[in-house]
Amino acid sequence: MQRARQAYDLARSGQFDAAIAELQEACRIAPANPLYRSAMGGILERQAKWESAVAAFREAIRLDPANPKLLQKLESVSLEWGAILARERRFRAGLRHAQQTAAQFPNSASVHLMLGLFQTRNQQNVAAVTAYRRALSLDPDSADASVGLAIAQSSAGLARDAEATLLGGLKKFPNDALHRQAYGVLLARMAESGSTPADRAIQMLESALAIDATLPEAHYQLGSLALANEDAAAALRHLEAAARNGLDDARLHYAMARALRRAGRAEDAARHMEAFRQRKLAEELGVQP
Amino acid sequence: MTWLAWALLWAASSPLFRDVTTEAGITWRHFNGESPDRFLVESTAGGVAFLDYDSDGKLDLLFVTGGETPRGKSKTEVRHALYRNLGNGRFTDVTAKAGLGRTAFFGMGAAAADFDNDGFPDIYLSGYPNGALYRNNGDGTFRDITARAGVGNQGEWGTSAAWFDFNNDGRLDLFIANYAEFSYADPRRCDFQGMPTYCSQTAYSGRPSRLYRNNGDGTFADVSKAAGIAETQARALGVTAIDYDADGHQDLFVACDATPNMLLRNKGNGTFENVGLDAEIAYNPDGVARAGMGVDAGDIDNDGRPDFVVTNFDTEYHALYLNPGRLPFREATVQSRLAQHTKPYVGWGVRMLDYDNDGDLDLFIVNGHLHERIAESNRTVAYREPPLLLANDGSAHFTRVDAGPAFAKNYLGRGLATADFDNDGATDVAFISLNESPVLLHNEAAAGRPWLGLRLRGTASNRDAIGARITLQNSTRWITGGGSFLGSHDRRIVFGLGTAAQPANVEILWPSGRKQQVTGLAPGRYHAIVEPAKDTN
Repeated sequence: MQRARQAYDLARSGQFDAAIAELQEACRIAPANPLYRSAMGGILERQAKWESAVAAFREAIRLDPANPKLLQKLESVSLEWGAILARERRFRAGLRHAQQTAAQFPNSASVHLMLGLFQTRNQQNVAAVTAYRRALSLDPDSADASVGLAIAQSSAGLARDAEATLLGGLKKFPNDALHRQAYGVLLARMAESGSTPADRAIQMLESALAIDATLPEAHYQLGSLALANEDAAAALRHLEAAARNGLDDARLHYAMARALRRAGRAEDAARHMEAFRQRKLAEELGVQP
Repeated sequence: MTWLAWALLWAASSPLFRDVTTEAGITWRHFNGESPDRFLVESTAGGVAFLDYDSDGKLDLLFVTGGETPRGKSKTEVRHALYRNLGNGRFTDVTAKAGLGRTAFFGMGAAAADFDNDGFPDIYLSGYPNGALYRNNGDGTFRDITARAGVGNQGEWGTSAAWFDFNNDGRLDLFIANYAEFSYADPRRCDFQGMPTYCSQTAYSGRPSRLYRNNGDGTFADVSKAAGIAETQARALGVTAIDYDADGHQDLFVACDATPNMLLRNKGNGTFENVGLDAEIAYNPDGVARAGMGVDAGDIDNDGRPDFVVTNFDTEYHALYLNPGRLPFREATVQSRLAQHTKPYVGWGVRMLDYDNDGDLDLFIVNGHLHERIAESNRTVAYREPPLLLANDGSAHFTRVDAGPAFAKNYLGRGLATADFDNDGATDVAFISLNESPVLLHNEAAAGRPWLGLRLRGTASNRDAIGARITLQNSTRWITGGGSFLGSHDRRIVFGLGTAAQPANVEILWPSGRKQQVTGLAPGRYHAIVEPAKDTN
């Protein structure tokens, strides 16, 4: 206990390494004491060392399985660590982490959302459908779970199920722009393979923008649809709006270059093609441009 | 039942393409060396070539096996097979006599052409970690001349190859599409939900393809660097050679697997420039490089300019690029309904052919997945997949045709080749199904439809006339190099005449630049046409 307090004091004064060393020594002397592991987890969390924090809290829970505060802490740092793995596109590591976390928290909607995300990113689409469905059953008011389920269903080749999920979601969350955007994207894909007219996709994406005009994905999709119809002016309008609202990835610059070329603006097109090349290279190298 | 009713019932139930593999006497099986290591090379093999190796006027068949891998051994002999066409619907195995059975490398594809202009087709076999060139001795045998010719493509994983005359000197040069850095000593381990599976192609770095210039004395010079081909770092799987911009120089379209497709414009000075980005064939509309496998060229929309079709992975759609006579090309994958017809399939071999001789080029595509458990990821995608026959309405809109029992079966389709093996004016098809018997399909759809066949022989141009453009009224055809995936095809051109069984006139633009008009050609047979010494009108 004394060592734990000392460690916290050290941590409070910014001496994190010393604090951790203190707690490691405490764990060596009293390996069955969950408090030291928990304290270590807390300090690691303050340092944003999420992976180590997760490990420390897991060890603490192994020693004190029924401690609700520890469980809450572990869930929270696990979700943080999962978000970082997703941002860093470390999908395989993310999947392992999410599977372990879901085994520990079978009744957490957030954890199942995380699991579904990583399963989708690892092409385990059918498993992802199960995870998102579980998330939605645990938290029926989660719009994220509803959208995630639809995306997983679509990726699993279950387009009609995805459509049903989104239609249900739209009834429940009529003003949720993300639902409308997701449905618009699904309709756009369905239109490509001839199962619905492209106009439906356009209407749905426009209805998403009527609720939230800043959605870059909806603008991008509308730009792409306009470009497919060789309407360079409309394409540019939407693609520029997507860029204004923060979209700056390879596909945006590629679409911009194609639209500008069709609009006769060769120099601007070349500039966007160069930006596209840079972003593709960055994607391949796994770095931010 | 009336006679007419019987006739209609018969017409409705008879297949458009009939599987004649067994009755033709073909017993060979492909072997891919599948092993617990899941070497990617196992999943991409299987070549097939139609060639008239004995110049008797009947197209023979060559099948290319894969090979053994360190832990993927066969209990039976692993060999390629050459089948001689007996002309009565049957083929006989002449592999041993021809000397083509065994190669010391893992086989991929075949490209047959008369590189030495002696009247007998020679064979290039691609593979890993090298390839081989077999010269046709003209007596039913072949001789391995790889070392002397200098076309070994050493250390590379060669896939499709194309013979074409890039410098218009009348001799066929050789382009070899190379795939990726690969070694049996460095297996990449991947799993799907705990089961070993083939790693994604992105686990393997692409390699430059190679261009060999024919020196005319049985040797070749590797001009990859000088021609700018050595700069093409990509996972190349398919290639076709055609003069897409009608400037008199043969260009190359190279289909690449999750690296950008390439359109290599022949600048006419011995060098090539990749204009794939300007042509908008490099990426899909979202700027993503698709998993390009096979490619073929021809005039799909009947505007006199060559268009391109590329087979891709499931959910990517097989792509159609229409050539408007300038860059960029117009991708018509969605508008042509190719997206609709190909969404669940991983495509490989592809050919534009006029299966019903109505005058329009249709599409024949073979498909097959790499991952045995793919259905656990996507419910609409299967491991084994059917071939597709897509009928063109003449304006680049396709309808899927139920062409018979072979199209209701599922295969692990890979290499595909086309030829009129029974000289009836209807284009037949052969393809490889990975690790299984090949499939030979006899075309019964064009029976009774008027047609006109041409067999061109170059004099100033290469003898095979690869690169020639032939126009009959509003139909234009090219004799292309390469095409499909790991396949090699009948060099003859068949024009479907629709309902017009009248003598026809054709105009030929030879690769040498000479123009020739031939008039009054009777339908229903092949005509041998020799390149004239000067333009003819």
